[in-house]
Amino acid sequence: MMERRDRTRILLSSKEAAEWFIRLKDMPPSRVAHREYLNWLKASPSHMAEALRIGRMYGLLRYSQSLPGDARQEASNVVEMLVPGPAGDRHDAGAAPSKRLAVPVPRRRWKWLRRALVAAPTLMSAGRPEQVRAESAEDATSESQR
Amino acid sequence: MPDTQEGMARSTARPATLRDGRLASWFVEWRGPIRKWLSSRSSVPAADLDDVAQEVFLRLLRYSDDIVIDNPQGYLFRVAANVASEWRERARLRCPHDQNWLQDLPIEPANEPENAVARSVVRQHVRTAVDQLPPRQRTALLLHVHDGLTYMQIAERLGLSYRAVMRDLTRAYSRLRLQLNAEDLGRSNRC
Repeated sequence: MMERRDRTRILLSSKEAAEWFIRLKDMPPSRVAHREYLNWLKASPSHMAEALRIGRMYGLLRYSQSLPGDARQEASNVVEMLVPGPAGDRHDAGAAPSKRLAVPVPRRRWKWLRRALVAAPTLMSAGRPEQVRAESAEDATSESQR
Repeated sequence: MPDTQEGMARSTARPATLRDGRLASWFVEWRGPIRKWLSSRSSVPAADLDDVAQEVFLRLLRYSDDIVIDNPQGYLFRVAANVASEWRERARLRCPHDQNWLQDLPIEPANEPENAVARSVVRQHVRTAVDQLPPRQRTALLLHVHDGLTYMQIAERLGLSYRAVMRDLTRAYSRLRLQLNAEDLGRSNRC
């Protein structure tokens, strides 16, 4: 019961705070409006708290709604991770990700196939286990980079 | 320093020049000290927000009713930012071992290092909440926040009355305030 009343009070205060926020931001400054706003703020500490929260909310909304550039950045990061090659080579990968992506991927597949063909008879004959382990480790490493 | 900044409250008449370019001036304020408060990364723990509000309230009560404050909203956020900075000092003394809290404190929001995970979580919460708004409220809100239109401009663009847009915006802001939890509206770190 108490919680419900609190929620109703908060709802009312937050609506009033939102309206004041919008009015003062969007309308020409008016001495009367300023006086009324100050009176409203002075009427209750909860008005003050809601006024501050609305301001925080506006900042948060601006922040969260203004990041299309970051989304593109994240997308290019994903592409970048897919590009194989030496680590030092990746820093400029974002410049033309699609071009870089198109070339190395097929080459990489062929490399895998070639290694598999080389490794298969080696495994079957159980010869040179060190090299097998080394090859496997190398493959695992390059796999984890994909 | 806080009290010197509060000196913008004065009883003299407001210069006529302030009537012009009021939106521009609001955003100039936005870029200034007020941004400290409006920033989503302002260094006030959400749990302390009510205490900060109480302190700002008490300071406001010191002014008599006949004092006119130019840009009272800017004044409010500026004082809140000042109070928050005082709280920061108190927190430093009160919680000397809370390194997580302290490390971020001296840094201006604009220069704060990226905390990509936490920030993307908050961003996602906000976007989800915005997406759940009724379509007309959502449209009005995005035009207001993202495109920076006034509610009158939004009304003209959408072919609605000023009153209807004000109602949509008010409801949208209010609904978001109730939906987003305290952590989204400020830091939750506290000792």
